[in-house]
Amino acid sequence: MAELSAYLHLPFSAMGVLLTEMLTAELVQARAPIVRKARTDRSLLEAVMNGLQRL
Amino acid sequence: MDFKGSDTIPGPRAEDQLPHTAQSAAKIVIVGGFGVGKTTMVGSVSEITPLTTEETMTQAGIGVDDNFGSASKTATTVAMDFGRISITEQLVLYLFGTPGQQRFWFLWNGLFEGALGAVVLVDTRRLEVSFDVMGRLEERGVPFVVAVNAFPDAPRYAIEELRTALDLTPDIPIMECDARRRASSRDVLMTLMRFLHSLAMTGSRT
Ligand SMILES: Nc1nc2c(ncn2[C@@H]2O[C@H](COP(=O)(O)OP(=O)(O)OP(=O)(O)O)[C@@H](O)[C@H]2O)c(=O)[nH]1
Ligand SMILES: [Mg+2]
Repeated sequence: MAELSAYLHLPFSAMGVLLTEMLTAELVQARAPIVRKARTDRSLLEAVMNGLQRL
Repeated sequence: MDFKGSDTIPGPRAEDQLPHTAQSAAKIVIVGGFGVGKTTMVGSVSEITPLTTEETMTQAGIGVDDNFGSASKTATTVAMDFGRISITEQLVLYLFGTPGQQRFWFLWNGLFEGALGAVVLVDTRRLEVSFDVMGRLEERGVPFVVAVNAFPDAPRYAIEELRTALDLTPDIPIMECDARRRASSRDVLMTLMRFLHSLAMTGSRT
């Protein structure tokens, strides 16, 4: 949900209301959230580190 | 509603087809007490002007907040900061700043889902907020590093003194920073990444 509010540039609260409405109307389905993996993808971390280096 | 059809949304497209490992967005949460420098830190590294979303709270928080704010206040504005760093064309890093006081923990639901980790910003004038925050993060299994903002009028401690005061285990990185400086904030994020990387290495050996 935070991702969505981020992508859509909507306030968190507005997104919450919207999603709740949509869930009620069965327009969206709640899926199990992507849980943090026991091992975070190392290549992702390395990519982020490289990117930060350039900052 | 079909969000995928729009090209104005820079989020991951076609996420349904992608395995979870093919993330195109990563997220870091910056958490700390009132006035500790969250907005400043997000702003100093973000390539976009940080967005602040406001949530108005009434009553619920009265009496449970720390000494800050006047007791007569009947509504509090809670701000969540949001910033972005493009890592590559495919990968974007999102930064979220969120208040650490217990009464704001309802904001954490969802926020930490899928987050790589967190930066706990510490103000040495108010260590107690940090205790709660770190305890809560541990409960949630969110890896974090600790960044101490050096305010001119705040008591100065040696890093190891702070580690003891904050009851941090030796593996958790703790460093001083100046959230106003981009390089300093960047170093904090880099430390978090290295820490996460070391966790990933350890995990892969077992
Ligand atoms: N000396 C010093 N001042 C800082 C630092 N970081 C932030 N400040 C100052 O501290 C004040 C508060 O910073 P903010 O970034 O607004 O803090 P915040 O955590 O977002 O505060 P709230 O959202 O109100 O909880 C500002 O005046 C900043 O300029 C720092 O690292 N060193
Ligand atoms: Mg702020």
